[in-house]
Amino acid sequence: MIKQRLLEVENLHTYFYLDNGVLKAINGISFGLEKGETFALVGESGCGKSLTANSIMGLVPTPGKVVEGRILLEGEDLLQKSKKEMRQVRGSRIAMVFQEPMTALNPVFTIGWQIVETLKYHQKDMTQAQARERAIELLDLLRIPLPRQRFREYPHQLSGGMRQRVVIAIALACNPDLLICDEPTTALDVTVQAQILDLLGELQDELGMSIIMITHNLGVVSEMADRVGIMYAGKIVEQRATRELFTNPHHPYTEALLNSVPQIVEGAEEHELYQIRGMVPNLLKEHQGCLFAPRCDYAKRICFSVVPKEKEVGGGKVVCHRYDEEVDFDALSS
Amino acid sequence: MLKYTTERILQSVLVLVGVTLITFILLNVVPGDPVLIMLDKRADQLTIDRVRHELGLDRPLPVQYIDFIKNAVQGDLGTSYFKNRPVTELLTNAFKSTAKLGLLTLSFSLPLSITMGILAAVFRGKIIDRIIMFLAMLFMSIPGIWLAMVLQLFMGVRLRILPISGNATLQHYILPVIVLAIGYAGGASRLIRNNIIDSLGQDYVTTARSKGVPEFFVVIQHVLKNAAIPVVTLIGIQLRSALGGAMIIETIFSQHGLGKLAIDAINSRDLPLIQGNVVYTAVVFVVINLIVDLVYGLLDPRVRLVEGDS
Amino acid sequence: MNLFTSKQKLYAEMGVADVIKDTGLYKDAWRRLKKSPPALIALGFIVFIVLLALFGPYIVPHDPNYTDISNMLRPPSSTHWFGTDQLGRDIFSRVIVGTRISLFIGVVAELIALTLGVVIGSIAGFFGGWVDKVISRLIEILSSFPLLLFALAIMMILGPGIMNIFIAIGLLGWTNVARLIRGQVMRLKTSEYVLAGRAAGQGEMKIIFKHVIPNCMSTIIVILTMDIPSMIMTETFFSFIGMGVRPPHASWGKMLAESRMHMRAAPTYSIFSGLLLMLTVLAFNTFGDALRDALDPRLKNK
Repeated sequence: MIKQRLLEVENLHTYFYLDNGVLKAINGISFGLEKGETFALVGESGCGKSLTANSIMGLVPTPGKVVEGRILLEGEDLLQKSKKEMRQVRGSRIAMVFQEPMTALNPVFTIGWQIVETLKYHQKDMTQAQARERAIELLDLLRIPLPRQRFREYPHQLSGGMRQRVVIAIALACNPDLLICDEPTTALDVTVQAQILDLLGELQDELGMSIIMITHNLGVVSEMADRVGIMYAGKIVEQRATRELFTNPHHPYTEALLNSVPQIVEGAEEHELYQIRGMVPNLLKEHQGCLFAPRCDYAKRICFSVVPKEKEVGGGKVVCHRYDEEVDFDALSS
Repeated sequence: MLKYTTERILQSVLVLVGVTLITFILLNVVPGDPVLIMLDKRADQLTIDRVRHELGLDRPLPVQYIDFIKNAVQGDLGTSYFKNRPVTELLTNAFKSTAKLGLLTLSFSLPLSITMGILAAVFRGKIIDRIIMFLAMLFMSIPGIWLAMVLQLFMGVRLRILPISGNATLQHYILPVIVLAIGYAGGASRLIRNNIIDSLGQDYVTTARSKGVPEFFVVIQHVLKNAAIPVVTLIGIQLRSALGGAMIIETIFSQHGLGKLAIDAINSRDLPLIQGNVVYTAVVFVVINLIVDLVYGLLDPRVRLVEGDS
Repeated sequence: MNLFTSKQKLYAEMGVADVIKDTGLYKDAWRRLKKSPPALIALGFIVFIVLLALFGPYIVPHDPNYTDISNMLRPPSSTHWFGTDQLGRDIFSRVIVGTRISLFIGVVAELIALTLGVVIGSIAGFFGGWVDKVISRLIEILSSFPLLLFALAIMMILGPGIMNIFIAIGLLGWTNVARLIRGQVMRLKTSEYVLAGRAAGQGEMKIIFKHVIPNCMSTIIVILTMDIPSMIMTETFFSFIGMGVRPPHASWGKMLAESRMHMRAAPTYSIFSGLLLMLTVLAFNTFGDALRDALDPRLKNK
């Protein structure tokens, strides 16, 4: 009997229907998350990681649409839920933290009001006074000094780091099972980044929630994540436990990403910075074969014509012909 | 808030001074001696000089200006040359008519444009949106003069169901209000729609949705308060327009409001009346601007906290 | 690859040459415009009106100034498509000739206002400080004047006539433009490419011309298109109250004024006098609106 995971994304396809064609932004991804686990979704800009978060939340903007797949939250398919049901899920069972704290809060309402708002919709039996206390409690939990005063203040009176803490406070208000963080620290100073990440880690332990951490920063991944999914051009090309990924990357893209991180070691100044040649493919066009092939150091002719299948290798999954046991890769022509 | 208010009041005073000064200078550069116009062409030089002295027009300009301001502040804007009544009295009477027209117009055009704007924004991209926006564009583009005359023709002349000139009864206001309200509603509804759509694209809306706030409240609470800010400015502009007297409409419908008064004054080169009219209109503008700015400060906390903490 | 590699070579090396070739602010805008039927119809009408203004007087069926009292205030007929006015002149021809005047005044007045506004607005926005404060006060004072009243006052001073109409309208019309341009320039002032220009050692004036103003171009184009109808309306108003062009020139405003006195006798006179005016205003507004949407890089439907 397979233990039910908290979140199970199966074969998700999200497309954008634009004037000049269909953009297959997410083209068949599957991953899962246990209770209390942190899963990092990593990739370059435009690979579809933020859109994955939006798809799970049911907030895909037009002209986008989820066209296929299942998103199971404790067994229930979110994609089958009505709008009203999804609204009840959002904010209470799944919550989200966004990248840009400067604009995430409504400038014309006080901080307190915005936290209480979440409680108002999901904890209907709370009185105004109870909600107020809870909000102040949350601000305190997020280590915001003078929480009672901050309750009455407006967003523009706070710094970026503080605002992000408020955003997290709002997200945690109803004790969600799953917290999705979309590049929560990218827009913050480095020192503040570290503080926020530490805080998130502590809160996760305290509250026992799962986190999906979306980032392009491998440092954040190594700090926070139990498992990692590497996304490229709308597909998850590799997923496995963090430590294994860093010590034994399988997919050529993962290798390349790890190589791109500049090393501060003896003799490093003699090496050129590694660069993955080529560019991200234009997802509006139809492609043959593996989307990474044009940039791959290992590519053979089959890579340009046949789409590789996802295979389980070494405790994780990879989408690459090199690991397909039905293919004798080394013997193939380039 | 207090500092902000004081600043705005000071600015308003400055603007008023500027306006009156420029008007005064402008009007005294006018060719066409009003004294000569008033009197018979055959009047002799003595009479001319005497009248000029009586009117105080032979004093140096700066003195005339200071006098004017002194009197104006006390509510005395001089006496009309040609109507022989105090300017203030003429303006007040005309104002009553204009104000009635203006307020009636806005009480129709505002609800209309707000409804149109919200509907179009909420159903953006769909048929309703297109229809409403087309109507708004049409409303905005129809020349008031033409629409007024066409309506007069059909409603007044042909079908004889509505009066077309004067402002005796409330019925007399129906046509002018329709013409004006249509024009205002056109521009306003587009602005409202666009502001709501812009606000809907903001990050805080995504945050609100991710909290599970129903879409209805997202629009009514989060968006409206933000979108209202530029709309308040627009309402200010329309109020100014309305209270300043819609010259064209008043002329066409023979309503004795400020607009018609202004045109009459200019045609007869009635200096005090023109001056008084400009000053009055400027005061209206400035007061409304002030109110708009203060409402702004109430709506948008970022504006009022000039020296915020943090 | 160094600073002197041309854009084309750079794009080619990156493998995106074909994608870039199809894009560009104006190309994209034109593509979006092409998709909107109302915009195209409006544009077509504008072209038609311009042609009418340029060549209309040469192709009128009747001499617009030929009076024939015996023929006055006739309803539309096969010879006089719009009927005749109170002096027996052909309304249709007069309307066409009036196009030239209205359009001419509208465009020229707008260009005056635009030039003044762009220059003053960019100076205020770019240099800031006391220059900006003074100019902003001036703009505020000038816009507190009721437009028509002020313009009328100026006309009163200068007397009627085309040149004076230009001066009067242009003298106040620049404030709106200046305000918009100032706002944009202030935003652009802190943008990266201005900073880059400074870092590369470019002089202030060069920065204004090379970086700031081209980025205001789309705003300028839209302002131009949408202000022209209000300029035309202002001219119409002036002619309506008798301050516009002198007889026997035909102007839509004048015709509307004259038709008022004969509303019962010749109802179609009023209608036809203003018909072209309404269509012109509608066309400019529609096109200007579509243009603004097309030039806006953000998508309209979110």
